[in-house]
Amino acid sequence: MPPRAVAIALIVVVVEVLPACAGPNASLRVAEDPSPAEVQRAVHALGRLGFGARPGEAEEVARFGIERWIAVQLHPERIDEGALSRRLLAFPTLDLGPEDLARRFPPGPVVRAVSRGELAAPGDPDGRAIYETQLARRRERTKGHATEDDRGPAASDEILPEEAERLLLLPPEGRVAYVLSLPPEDRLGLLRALRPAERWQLRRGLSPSDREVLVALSAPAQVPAGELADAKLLRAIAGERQLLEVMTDFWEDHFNVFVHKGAIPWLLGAYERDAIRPHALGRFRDLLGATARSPAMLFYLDNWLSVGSRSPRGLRTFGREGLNENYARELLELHTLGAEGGFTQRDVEEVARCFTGWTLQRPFWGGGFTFDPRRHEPGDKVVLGQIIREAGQREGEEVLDLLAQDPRTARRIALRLAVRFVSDDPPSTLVDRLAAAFENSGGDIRTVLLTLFGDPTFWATPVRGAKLKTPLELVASAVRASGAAVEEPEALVETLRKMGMAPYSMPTPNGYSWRADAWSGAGALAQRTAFALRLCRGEIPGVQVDSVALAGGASDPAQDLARLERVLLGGVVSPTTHEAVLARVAAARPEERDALAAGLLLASPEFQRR
Amino acid sequence: MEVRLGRRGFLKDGFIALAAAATLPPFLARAAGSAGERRRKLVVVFLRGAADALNVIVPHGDPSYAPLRPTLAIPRSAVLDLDGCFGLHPALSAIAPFFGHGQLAVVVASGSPDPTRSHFEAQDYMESGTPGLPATREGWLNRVVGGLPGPGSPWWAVSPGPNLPRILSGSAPALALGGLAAAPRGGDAAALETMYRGSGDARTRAEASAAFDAVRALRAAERAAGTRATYPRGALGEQLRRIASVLRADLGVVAAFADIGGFDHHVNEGAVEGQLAERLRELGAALSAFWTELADDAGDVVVVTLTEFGRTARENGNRGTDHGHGGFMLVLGGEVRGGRVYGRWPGLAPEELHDGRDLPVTTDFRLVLGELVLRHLGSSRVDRVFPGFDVAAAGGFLGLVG
Repeated sequence: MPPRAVAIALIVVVVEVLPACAGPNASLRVAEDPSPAEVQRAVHALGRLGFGARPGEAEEVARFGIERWIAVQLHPERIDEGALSRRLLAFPTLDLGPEDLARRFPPGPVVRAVSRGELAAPGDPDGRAIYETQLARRRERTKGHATEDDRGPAASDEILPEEAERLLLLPPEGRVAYVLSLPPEDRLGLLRALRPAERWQLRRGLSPSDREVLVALSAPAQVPAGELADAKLLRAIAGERQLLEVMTDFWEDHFNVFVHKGAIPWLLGAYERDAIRPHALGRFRDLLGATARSPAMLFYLDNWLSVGSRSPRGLRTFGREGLNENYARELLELHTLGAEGGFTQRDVEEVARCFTGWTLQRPFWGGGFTFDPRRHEPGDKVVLGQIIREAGQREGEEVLDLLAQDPRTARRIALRLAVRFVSDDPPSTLVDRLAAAFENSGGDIRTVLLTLFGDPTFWATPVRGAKLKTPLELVASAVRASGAAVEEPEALVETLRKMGMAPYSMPTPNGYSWRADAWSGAGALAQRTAFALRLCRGEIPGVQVDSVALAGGASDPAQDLARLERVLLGGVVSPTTHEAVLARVAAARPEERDALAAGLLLASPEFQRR
Repeated sequence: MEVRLGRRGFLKDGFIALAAAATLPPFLARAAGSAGERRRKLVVVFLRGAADALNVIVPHGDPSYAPLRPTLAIPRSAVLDLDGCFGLHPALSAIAPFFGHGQLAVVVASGSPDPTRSHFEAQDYMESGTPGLPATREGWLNRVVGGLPGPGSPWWAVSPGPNLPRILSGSAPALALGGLAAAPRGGDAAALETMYRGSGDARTRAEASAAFDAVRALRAAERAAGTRATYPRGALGEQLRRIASVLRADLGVVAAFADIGGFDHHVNEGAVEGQLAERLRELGAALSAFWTELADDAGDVVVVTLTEFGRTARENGNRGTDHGHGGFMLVLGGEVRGGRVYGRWPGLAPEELHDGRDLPVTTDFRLVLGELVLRHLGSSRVDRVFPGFDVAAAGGFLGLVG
């Protein structure tokens, strides 16, 4: 190793250890305790750059130095995430490409090809089982309803539950073997007879590959989609690269795609892994280009179907296929300039023409981006008053250049960052400064964030606690604060679904809102408070909270409460909340007190904000 | 939530007698907003998956119908005849009497003018009320309540699920009753209420106050709801039961939304019996139970069904049907001019079919909804509920109510 590389490696190692350690590495600590004001600043930083503080983490960050911590967060590659990576091994699809996913967990068109004999089913036993079952489902649908009538409802109501019961009593390794020992038709019947809770029970404790097989028998798409959602929760909760997770989520909302549309379950993992995450703190233009070329976006906003009316293909199909403006419109309105960006319908059409030919090779088979000149509209185009010379695929890139450099784009990204990180109505002077940083740095996201976190407005008192947590932020921060052990995040994903914020599930291209009005209201409050209480009572399957350890286990309820207030809320609690919790706890049985107090504090008005 | 008499529209439309509100328990009065007023209500039921219009409202008098569907056609002998030309699928027998009593109308060949055959897009357009414009952020039912005069109440628009569907999302407040139902109870609820009502932040206080009132009102309504009717098993019955309970409690509901899935029958759709029949049986039984439950209150209610598009006129090679175009709407209500089939029937002759394969749309779904919004709910802002929709150009209202 050359000397310079060694030096860098050393720096990396040192920096790595520090922010990641939540306590054990005592020799590196500064001896004195940080001031309460400094801890409060750390709470603020942890709630904005990340998904909230874990027990003791605010003190830890304050000791380490908040500015130093922020600097490290801006360079996630320097943060060791070995522990999280090991947890993520439970989700093997995260490392697969669309093609492998489509082959392993076949979408309809792949199953159809196998049923027609155009493609061989995989040879390994698990793969064969998945295909056999999907083929059986296909046969069942095409064979005639009578057969299902004869067997279906009656069978699943009376005979199968016994079998299901027996199945659930088996040890984990026996369950999959048992299901696979049945003929494919009976596998389907058995899985259908299970209630959702039983299905969940069936999957508990299985090895990742066994779990995948079982899920794939019922719904192949759910394997990659479910693992992505689980991983998103786990990263937010247990990840050390908190700012990277926040920014990945930020851009996933900004460049939203919807997991329940067509081929997207098989394309989404690559979208997050290859298009969003590598550029989340990088250059906006790179990110914009990566999303534009990504199969997920091309599919979601239909650009892959777009055909220039005067293109060779357009002329041949006599207008049966035509221009699709969906991507072009959202590119202008959402991804770059904004709805008030002053573009016209004519601009939308011209942008759409520039992007004709940006298409996909068989998206359901995991085929990637390709430029198809036969779909491309010939001739020069005019976008925002600028002439785009005829140049095939290059035209789209020129449009992206134009849009990425536009001051309206800088302003829009600046505003959205300020809304996410500062307040729902951020001061326009701050937005101006961020927009200037964006423009001056050529759209360098890291530079804009550095400007933001260095701005006094970001730290101002009125800004502290000004943001209502979104459901994702609430759930992740509550689990983090409680120090819960997350064995399986699936139930947390389900909680988010009920709160209206299931990962990757915003159907419309504007993505989930970050403003309070989208997440407040009576139903939301009811669900948020109920979740906090259930979490601390251990009623969320797969998530264990040790409230007694969290509270310190003193015999005096007031002492436990004081400790919980410090750990869960950074000590910032109103007298009303304190009194209400104390009164409620006093009326409860001693063994329930800590869980109740912790639950009520996580349900308090204080904890709803960050 | 609070009642303000200063609003011009409020007084003009005479929404609330303050005296009446004062006699209610305070939380109910706050929740109700317009208690005491005999207010009309609109209940929208979405049939997701694109229900097969031709086998729901069966055009048994159309000579092309049976030949298009060798295995799927409903035999004329089995159809519940409406007017000699059209008949209901036999699985809808539970609601057939409403047609005879003049409370049920059907609109044939209705739907969205947008040609998309994507479930996702078509449902989105039907819920946003702006076919062809994916960027519309608000649902049309949200715009309906947003355009009503008066101080507004989240009870104006409700949905029984855990969160608000697209059709109800938007700037006007609305309640997802499933979320409310999950609220903590007993001592936990009391502690939380103390915390939230004592919050230093005025907005938090106001929202929480509304939330705790709403939870109490919902629970009181559900306790008070009788068992006048037996709902069928399934999600739709459960949703309509919950909607009926809040309608009967007179909490001020103007618009409610429910949905039922499972209409996407590409294979083995079935005819008199089968998959479609099962869904329709559930639909008919749930609507009938809902109507029975509402009893005297039903006179103020109109129920309208939507489905994102119809299905191919010809059955496919899998004894099913594929994504098509023209659909149907059921309109049930005390003030509906029922017992009639509305809409122009283009016929199923090959040259009449949309793209040579589908029933065309001759009645824009917004024409039916717009009339209900204007003449039933009494909102004059049809142009705001359905921006860009020209009632006159679409042929004018059908005369379904009034």
